[in-house]
Amino acid sequence: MNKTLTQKDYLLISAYLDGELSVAQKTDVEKRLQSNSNFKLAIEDLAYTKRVLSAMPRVRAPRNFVLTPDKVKKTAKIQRFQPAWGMVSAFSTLMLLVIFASSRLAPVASLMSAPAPVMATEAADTAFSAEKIANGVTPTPMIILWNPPRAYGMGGGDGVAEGSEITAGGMGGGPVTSAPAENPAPLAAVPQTTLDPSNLILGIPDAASQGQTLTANDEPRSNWLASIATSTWLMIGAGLLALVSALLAIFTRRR
Amino acid sequence: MDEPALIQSAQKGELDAFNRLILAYQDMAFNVAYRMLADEDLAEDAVQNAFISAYNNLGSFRGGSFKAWVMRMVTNGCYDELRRQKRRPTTPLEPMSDDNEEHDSAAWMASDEPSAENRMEQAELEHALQHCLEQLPPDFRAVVVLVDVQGLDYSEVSQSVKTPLGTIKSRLARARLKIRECLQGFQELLPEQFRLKGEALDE
Repeated sequence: MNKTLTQKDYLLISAYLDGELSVAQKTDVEKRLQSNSNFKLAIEDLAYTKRVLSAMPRVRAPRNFVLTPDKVKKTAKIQRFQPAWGMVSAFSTLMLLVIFASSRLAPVASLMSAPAPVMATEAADTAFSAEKIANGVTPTPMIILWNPPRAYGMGGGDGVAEGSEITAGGMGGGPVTSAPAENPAPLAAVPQTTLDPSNLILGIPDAASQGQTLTANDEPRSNWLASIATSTWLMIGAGLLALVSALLAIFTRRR
Repeated sequence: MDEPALIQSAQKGELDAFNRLILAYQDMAFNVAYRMLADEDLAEDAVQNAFISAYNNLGSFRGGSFKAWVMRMVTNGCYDELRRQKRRPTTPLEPMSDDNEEHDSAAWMASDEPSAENRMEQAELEHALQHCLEQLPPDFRAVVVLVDVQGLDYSEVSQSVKTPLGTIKSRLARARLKIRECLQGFQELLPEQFRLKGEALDE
């Protein structure tokens, strides 16, 4: 390349040779052609290059490329569903994100909507007034349950046994407080539910549970498939569908 | 040939109408593919696939230059093949004659000149030009083949390679410069005029 000419000059020369300059630009080039020998040489140089390229023989097609109905049908079949695969893949990915987001955000939302724990009520305070203590009534410590026992799964059921006096707040509802009674009900009336140690604020069990060792759920984990949440299955399904349809979209894309 | 009428018929599904368009453009398409890929067999495949793709996507043609639209299919097919070659480079096998000697493709020998010596010189120059074309990046090669070898104008090329006009101009100028520099390596094939100029400019 001529060191005195810039890339811009060559751009101008190239466009000039193709007749692609405006009138003003063409006039400018022709002026420089007259006054600048290097510019003139560069134009002749590029003009020759263009000429030899144009003179390259046109290679004729070695055969006819006409299409037959079979050829067209075969290719059209494969390509027909290509746009659909792309849409399926995009939709599956979106579903995956939605399910993931809802499965992660739902517990947080339920916690935020739950009412604040109610501390010892005034009734409880008055119930256990100094007078009663003086009379020999021993107050039973209050147990605050954050999440009443509920069934496995999406937390749909409230997991509360029939006839129970405990009212659940739906999915992780508000804490249940029970004011200790003056004369605790006989053991038979107490619901036979297993207390989840993680729900207890005070580690003092009720009379019925005293002496028992509270353990985590001891159910054998033989049926691990059933223990996987439905949302997880949905996410796996959506993810697989997105992957497969994306691969099909790639392989059947139009060339 | 009433091209708009043929295109309309082809868009309605008439394969015969489309085949008439193929006959009109197949030589140009093959020439472009051959100059891009430098291989007859690959060029054949690229052109065949381009025409099939063009037929299946006729609905997307909304007017303008049909020639540019077809060339777009061809150049896209060539780009795909070049990308595939880049991923899996192969050593092409030269066809052997019965005497176990390599022989060039017939295309190299094509010439309109009567004398054998002229034919040889033309073939060598063409070989040199093809070599220089192959040194260019694919997008530069496409532009120079479409404009200089095939004679399309800037707007048609812009449609074919889906690139703005300004970029076309820039790529063409740079491609021509690169070819000019490359041809300096084949000075013995160039006319004396061009040889001297090259030397003068390099000083």
